[in-house]
Amino acid sequence: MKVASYTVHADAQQSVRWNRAAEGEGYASTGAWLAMAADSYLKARARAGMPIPLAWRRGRFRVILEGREAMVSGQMSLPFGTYHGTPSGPIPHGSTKYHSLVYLPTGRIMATFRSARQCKALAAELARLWVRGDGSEPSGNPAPVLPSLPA
Amino acid sequence: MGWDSKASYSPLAGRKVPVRATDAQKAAWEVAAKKHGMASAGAFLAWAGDLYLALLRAYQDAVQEHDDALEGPGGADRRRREREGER
Repeated sequence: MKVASYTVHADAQQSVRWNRAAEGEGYASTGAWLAMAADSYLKARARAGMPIPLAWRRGRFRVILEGREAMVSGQMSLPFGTYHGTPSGPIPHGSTKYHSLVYLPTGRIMATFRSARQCKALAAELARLWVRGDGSEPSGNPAPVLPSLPA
Repeated sequence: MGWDSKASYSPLAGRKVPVRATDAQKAAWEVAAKKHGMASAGAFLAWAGDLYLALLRAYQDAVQEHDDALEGPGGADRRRREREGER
């Protein structure tokens, strides 16, 4: 398994309390204990119902636009993608601020927002439904989850 | 809280703790650091470690308070001594 390494900086007091906690909880190293603490926090957030942001990368994907299919460039975090544009199609950068969220397995546009950040926020919420649905599309209703803005 | 990175360590943070991470942990911590406006995953780990201990202490204080409410002041300590005496 590929493993990354981090160096965490600590002041003297932090170092003492982390070492003590790691020893008390039976961890082999303070680093292993810190990793557990970070993972516990993220798990608690997930259990509390707060969506965890997805990790995004640039890519090209298929989208079903109004009356046609197209390949668009945008950002992807499976099973979601976002691109700069509306259901009518991609928009040249800098012209308007519309961004659309796409469910990649079907290419369906789920919603159009005024920022990519809003697309990503909805994707983070829908990811929970997607996992619960064992990989099925988050909404059983063929209508968009949120009404799309006019182009 | 915003997305802007900012200094996340105290200037006194001179000690270093190595942490190893799987790919999944790396991705999750880096995204969480960004979301919390921290400059690095390491800063997020430091913050999470302190938060973990603060929450643990708050939980233990709440349990103690609850036990004291049931058994009077010092009730929790009394019960702990009784448990230790039984061993």
